[in-house]
Amino acid sequence: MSNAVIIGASSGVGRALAYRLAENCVDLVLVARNSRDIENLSKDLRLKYGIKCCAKTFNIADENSNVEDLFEYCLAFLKDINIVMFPVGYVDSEDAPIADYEIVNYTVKVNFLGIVRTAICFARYFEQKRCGQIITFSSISAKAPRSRSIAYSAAKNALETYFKGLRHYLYSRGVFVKVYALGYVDTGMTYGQKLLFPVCAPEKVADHVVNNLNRDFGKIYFPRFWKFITFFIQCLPWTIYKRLNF
Amino acid sequence: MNERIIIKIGVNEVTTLKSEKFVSFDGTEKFQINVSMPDRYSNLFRDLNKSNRPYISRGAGLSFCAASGLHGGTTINTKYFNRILSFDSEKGLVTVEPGITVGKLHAFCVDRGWIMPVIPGHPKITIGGCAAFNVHGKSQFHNGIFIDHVEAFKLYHPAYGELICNRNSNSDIFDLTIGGFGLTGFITEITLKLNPFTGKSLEITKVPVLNLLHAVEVMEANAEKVDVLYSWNDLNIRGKKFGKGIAYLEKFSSECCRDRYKERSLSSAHRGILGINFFNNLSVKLMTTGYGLMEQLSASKRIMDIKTATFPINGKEIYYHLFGKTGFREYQFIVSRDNWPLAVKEVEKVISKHKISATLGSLKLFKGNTKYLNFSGTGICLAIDVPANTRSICFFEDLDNIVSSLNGIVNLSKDSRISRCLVQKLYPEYDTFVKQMAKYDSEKYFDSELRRRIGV
Repeated sequence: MSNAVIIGASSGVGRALAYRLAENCVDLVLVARNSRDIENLSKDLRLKYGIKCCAKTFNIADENSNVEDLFEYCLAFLKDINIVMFPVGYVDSEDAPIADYEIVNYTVKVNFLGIVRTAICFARYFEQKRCGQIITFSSISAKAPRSRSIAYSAAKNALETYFKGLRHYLYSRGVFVKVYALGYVDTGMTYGQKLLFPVCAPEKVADHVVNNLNRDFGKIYFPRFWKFITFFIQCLPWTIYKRLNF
Repeated sequence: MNERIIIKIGVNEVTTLKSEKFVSFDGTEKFQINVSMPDRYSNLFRDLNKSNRPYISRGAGLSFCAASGLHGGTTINTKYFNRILSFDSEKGLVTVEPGITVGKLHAFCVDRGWIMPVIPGHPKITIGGCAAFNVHGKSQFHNGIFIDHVEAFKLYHPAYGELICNRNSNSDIFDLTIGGFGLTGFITEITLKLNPFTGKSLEITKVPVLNLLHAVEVMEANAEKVDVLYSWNDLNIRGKKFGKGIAYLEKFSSECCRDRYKERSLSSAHRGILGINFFNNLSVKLMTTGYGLMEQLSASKRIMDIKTATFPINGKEIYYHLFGKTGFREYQFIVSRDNWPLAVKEVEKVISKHKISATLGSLKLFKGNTKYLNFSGTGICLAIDVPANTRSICFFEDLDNIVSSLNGIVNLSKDSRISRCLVQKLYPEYDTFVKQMAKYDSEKYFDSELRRRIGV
């Protein structure tokens, strides 16, 4: 493990992953929509940890953005790519029940289609190399959808399904494909909310991801207690589920 | 009660604020504020243009007064803007974002053979906070104030965009911003000039002093021989021993010393967590006498690793917690050397008059000029901590009269009750500062309870 590409590195879990990987002397390419955050993050990491690190602007939701260019850039900089991570998440506050199609479309583009479009490029590379890791981040709401953020839940559910299939295919080719289904994480998404369960620091997520890079577990809930909560919710009959307000 | 506020600011665009309780670090000012925590520049600029005006930046929120909160506006937390952007190891220049703490930056610099000349007391204080109050460090006499070591910064104001400010370009805004309480805009990056540091530790020599007058004499006699000097004084003893204590004379040393530094946490929200105030006349007397004895009996000379020695308050946070929810007040003033003996006499008189138990007394030598509302000048600086109550307010009012009559100045970042009238009286450039601020930001995009109180 000596280099990684983080797509969605400007804040939250992506930023925490960048720091954690840099502490472990992993060279990085940081990718995000706006350059200033990842440029500054890249400078900080280079100065503090002495790693090779650069920033690359790329809009995952823009169908016109060239994934091959991004891939070639990363490969040219790092010489080899071992890991690609997609700590990408977007939820629109207007993603209410029966939201406008534009909101649904954009949410699905960011949380599913954009990630898949980009992952395909790296997956082909890892398949040829017969090693590598693709790590993406889903949500507990994928398996426990509710009346709020319907598009977000649907997109994350689709993401999990796609990556499960990808894992099934790439397993025999020595490539790890992992999904982290995250509970409440202390980011802009949960800022200011009064939540039933505690929020987890992005640094804790990053610690877990980096400490378990050598394990191939497929999908995991983090924090782990969400596995039981989600399982319980999924087992509820409709007569009870419909009454839940969460 | 914390509450999430979502403000629609455009088509498919919202900003999220959190309503939370603001408490000044000294515990005397409490009110509700709306806080934004942008984690990216796009969110920052969005919040600074479209959230509820006015705005004020907030770093660690450790200023004793309400400098980073305001009713009916938006406090912008700098937490995520805490990166180091460049470091010139030849010239000793470092560029950082404002949310970086002095502890983190100090450790970075020291590990590379450089040191920040001006460092405030606790490692959790942010560089943005240092700039806002143009802080002095442990030894202003040797190192001046923060602005003396600022090369340049970038400042964002919604009306002007992002400005580059240094002594040659936008120099008027440069002077207005450092020591401008965050009222000129949001500093997005700042470049500091460092001093070379080839040592590894600090050699600390303790010299017992008989009283406040003797403390100043000892410090003046040793000022040129050391790198840092300050004193601790017991202000609860009356008569010839008023201010008996210890002068700390510190020199950088190349002697190796085990790094024992561990950064502790300190916040306004948790300062009063113990609830009750443990300081009364008896407990203060015991504490100050015990501390004085302990310092006298321990070795007069010791070596401490540079990171630990730089932050004497780090590890002693319990001191602030013991004030409980009611909090404390600090009065810090500078008077000229000539007026110092009279100041000592008058301060002792009013301490006796109000039967004050001072939990802390500390002296520093100051050298320099005052500009605008900067706490600087040439003379003797005395800081006094007391538990917050009605007696302390009356005591501070008497101190105001003493300082005013002796042409001194008071530190605006420490005292939560200083009024506009007093500031105008004490600071000769108050009216100029007000005029310049009005000229620069006539619509008051940036505001704070501190600004409203001192009428800037």
